[in-house]
Amino acid sequence: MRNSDIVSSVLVLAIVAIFGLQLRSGVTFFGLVFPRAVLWGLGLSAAGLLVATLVRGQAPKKDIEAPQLGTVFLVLLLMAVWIVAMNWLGFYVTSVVVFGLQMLLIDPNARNPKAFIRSIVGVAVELAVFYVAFSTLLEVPLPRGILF
Amino acid sequence: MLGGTVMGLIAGALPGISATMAVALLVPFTFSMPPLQGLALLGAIYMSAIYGGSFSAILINTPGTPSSIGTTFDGYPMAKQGRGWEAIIVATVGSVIGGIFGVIALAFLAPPLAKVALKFGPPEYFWVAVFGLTIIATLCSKSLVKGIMGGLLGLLIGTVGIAPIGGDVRFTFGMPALQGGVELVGTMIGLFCLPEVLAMILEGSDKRYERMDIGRRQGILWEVTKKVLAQPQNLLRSSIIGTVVGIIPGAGGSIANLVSYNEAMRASKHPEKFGTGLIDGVIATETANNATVGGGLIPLLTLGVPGTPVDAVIYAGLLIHGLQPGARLFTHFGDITYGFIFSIFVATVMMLPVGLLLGNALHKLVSQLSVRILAPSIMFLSIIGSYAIRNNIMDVWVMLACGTLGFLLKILKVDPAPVVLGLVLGPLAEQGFVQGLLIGRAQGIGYGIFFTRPVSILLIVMTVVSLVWPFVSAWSRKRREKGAGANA
Repeated sequence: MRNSDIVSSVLVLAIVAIFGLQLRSGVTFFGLVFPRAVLWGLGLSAAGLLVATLVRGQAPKKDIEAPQLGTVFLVLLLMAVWIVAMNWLGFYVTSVVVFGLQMLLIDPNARNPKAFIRSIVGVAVELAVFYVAFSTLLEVPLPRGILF
Repeated sequence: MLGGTVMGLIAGALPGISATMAVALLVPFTFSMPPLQGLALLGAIYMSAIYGGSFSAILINTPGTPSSIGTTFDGYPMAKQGRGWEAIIVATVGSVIGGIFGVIALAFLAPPLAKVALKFGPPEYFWVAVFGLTIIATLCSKSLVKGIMGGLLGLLIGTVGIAPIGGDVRFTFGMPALQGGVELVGTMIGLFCLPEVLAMILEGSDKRYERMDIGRRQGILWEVTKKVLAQPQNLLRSSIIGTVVGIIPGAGGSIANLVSYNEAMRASKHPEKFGTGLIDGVIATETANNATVGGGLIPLLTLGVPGTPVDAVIYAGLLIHGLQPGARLFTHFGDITYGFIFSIFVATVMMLPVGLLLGNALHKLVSQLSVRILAPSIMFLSIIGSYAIRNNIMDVWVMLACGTLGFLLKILKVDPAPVVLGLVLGPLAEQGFVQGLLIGRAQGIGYGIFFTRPVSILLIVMTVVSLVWPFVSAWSRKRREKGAGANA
């Protein structure tokens, strides 16, 4: 099933079900009236899209283009590692390491050791400038860990 | 403002970084600044990012922002003829004139509209929010149902946390961190920036563009400026089109530049020369797209209705400084609001020297910057940005979750802009709806209160027109094309 209309409507119906179940626990009328109307609207539009697509007989049409989902998954996974580690190891150190890994993942040319070392030194300098600019000049609070 | 102008210019010039993305990434960094300073920075970034899009449109035939699509039609042929610098000067002068026109319109039209908005009650605000949501019809004319689903999804996410009336806690899934609601800026960064970064990575890791001779020479600035100023009708028409299109919900620079190009071609004595490197085309597109900035801020600052995705991000920028967009901005925070408008005017004027001084460096940058540096840099800014607002790691997770959702939606051909719009307008709609209902019940007319007040009726009519208009216009265009085909 790779028709975007069908997949998106099923996904939205699942979201409606999850949120709908949450509404059961003791919420007053005034807290309930608006989200309930939104849930109804969302459910009806998703169901309408699903029925219309199935009735039109376009279900077999595959219009979802999702190339290199593995790369996307790895990029997102590295971001998750970034978020976990920055609070524990330190923001700057984690950023240099994950930034370097992202570069290796994105660009095969960066996998040459010489090019990689050159890039990682450049990244370390770039991030140091960002770090000082944000934490000192703009006074933006950054996560702190064991290192910095 | 100088920093904002430079940052916006660089962001706009880089293909793949839209004005929305640039403003969204930088909103959190204004948090520690005084409100006026922060807003001045955002205004400068917005205005100059729209202008910056012209550099890549002219030099590498790739619009840096959707607002510069029309600039490629004549700008790139000019660059290929060795007149790239001439095209950049035309774009610069046009952008400055259009930007100033839009800001003047904002300064003169917004205060009277704010006075009218002060008379609105909850039912009217509910309809204002619904009217704002009709922008979805323009943004998602290819699949309205998916657009509506996106908008409703945004409204639903906006109801997470404590209810504005009554204080009920909803949809927190047992997580106390969600009681305060979903953080708007982190959500916007996730929805607008991460899917674009992922798309950039998937598109190609190291795209490089050819650097060409752009024809810089002495005396060219004044010579070209005179040529631009010799077209007052084109400048005025494009400025008006840009401002009016900016005010209309959903339209924005991406539509204004094409409409203006079309009108310039229709008004020209030599329409056949358009597309071959005529300065008239570049004047039309660049003047119009910068005029939309001031125009788009009119409904945002007076009614709290963002007309475009960038305005939605500016909305969040106002909120983090404790300023609720709407008429009260002019009555209670007049010094900040008028200061903000004036700062955009100054930033627009500053684009002239900054754009021309940075021109060469930007040429080098747009033709050489690699995705392997750009993509992780945007991710780095996304993480800092979403963390900085509340120093809460949960907001970074929400940003990542929204980014993943945004990418999923992109694959499923659902535009993330309606989700953000729903999220922004949700609290306004809910508060107006529930308060209106309370008043209606007290008056014994219940839901009837939403349909009986004159301003509400006017807003309902405007909502219906705004919703139906894109379809009527597409239908009439198709009919015209059919007619022209039959005549040929």
